[in-house]
Amino acid sequence: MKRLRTVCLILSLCLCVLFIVRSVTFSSASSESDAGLAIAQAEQRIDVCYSAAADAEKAGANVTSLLSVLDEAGLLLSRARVAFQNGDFDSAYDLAVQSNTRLNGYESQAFSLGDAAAQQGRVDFLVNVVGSTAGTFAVIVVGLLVWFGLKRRPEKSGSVA
Amino acid sequence: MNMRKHGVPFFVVVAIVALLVASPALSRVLVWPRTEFFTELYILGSNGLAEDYPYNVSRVQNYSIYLGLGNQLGYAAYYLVEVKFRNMSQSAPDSFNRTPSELPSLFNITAFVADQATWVLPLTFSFEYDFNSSLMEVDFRSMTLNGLALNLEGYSTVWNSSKSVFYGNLVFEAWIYNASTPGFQYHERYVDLKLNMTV
Repeated sequence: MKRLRTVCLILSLCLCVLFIVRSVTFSSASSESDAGLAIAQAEQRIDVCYSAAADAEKAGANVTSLLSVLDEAGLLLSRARVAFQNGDFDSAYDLAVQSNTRLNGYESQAFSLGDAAAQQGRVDFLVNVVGSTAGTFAVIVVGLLVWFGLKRRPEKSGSVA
Repeated sequence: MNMRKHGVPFFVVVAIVALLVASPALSRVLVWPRTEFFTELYILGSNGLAEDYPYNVSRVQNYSIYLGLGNQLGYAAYYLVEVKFRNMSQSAPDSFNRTPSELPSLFNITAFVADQATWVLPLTFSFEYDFNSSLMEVDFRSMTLNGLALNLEGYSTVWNSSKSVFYGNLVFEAWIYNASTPGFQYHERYVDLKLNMTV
């Protein structure tokens, strides 16, 4: 009876040890994969946001403030990568999530900046190119009309006198 | 009124007014086109000038430099600066073949730079290393860059008797994001700091 109890105790101890080892390994693997996934997502997000900023710049927007936000997100991502390499998966995950969060609402901001810049560009084109060209023709035509108008006046005044 | 006498001044005035009115449109047309598109990558010393670069490095001592990028590419660029550390015998970036060093990057610095803008990052670094007197080599343990510990286990440098230095080379390679690939490609430019690890 005593022997059976000892065997049971040893068996249960072994099971406990096995369970602890398994759970620690599993949580570590899970943490590593979570961190890796978060880093990959943050990288993808930065790429997408950069494309949005580049489009806004093409539309003529001043993207300095947008790019500084990307810089901050990029720095967090770089730190996440280092933490991942050092095996600090919790920090890597946190930093990658922070990088992702930093870019919340970024695309809509970039799109609205791009839209505003495109609209401003259209107004500028109307005023500076179309308006200016039309104005130049108007000045030339008015100049010629004035010139021919003045040219006729001495003849008229001559006939009256 | 003598029209012949006043004709020239009149048309000169009309031409000047026409040119003034046309100037906004002309300013768009008469722009010298940009023909050179490039990136500037540079390091400045601790005072922000191209002098006083660190050379003789002591253990755990902090050194400051500035890393700069200038974007003249015609669009907002997404750069990655790979920080690498090498000794004299390890793979170096090659200016002739335009290839990067084959060493792994210790840290990636991301930089987003608007067209015709510059980007500057202050960097503070230090090294932790041991001197192995029997092998006459310096064995690195870590490098701290802007407060971030980077593992340098396995990195070492041997005594260079011709120059009397323990040579270390801190390399910054510029990579650029290519949206069409998409991914980063080596931007064929690098800057480096040659260091002497004092023991």
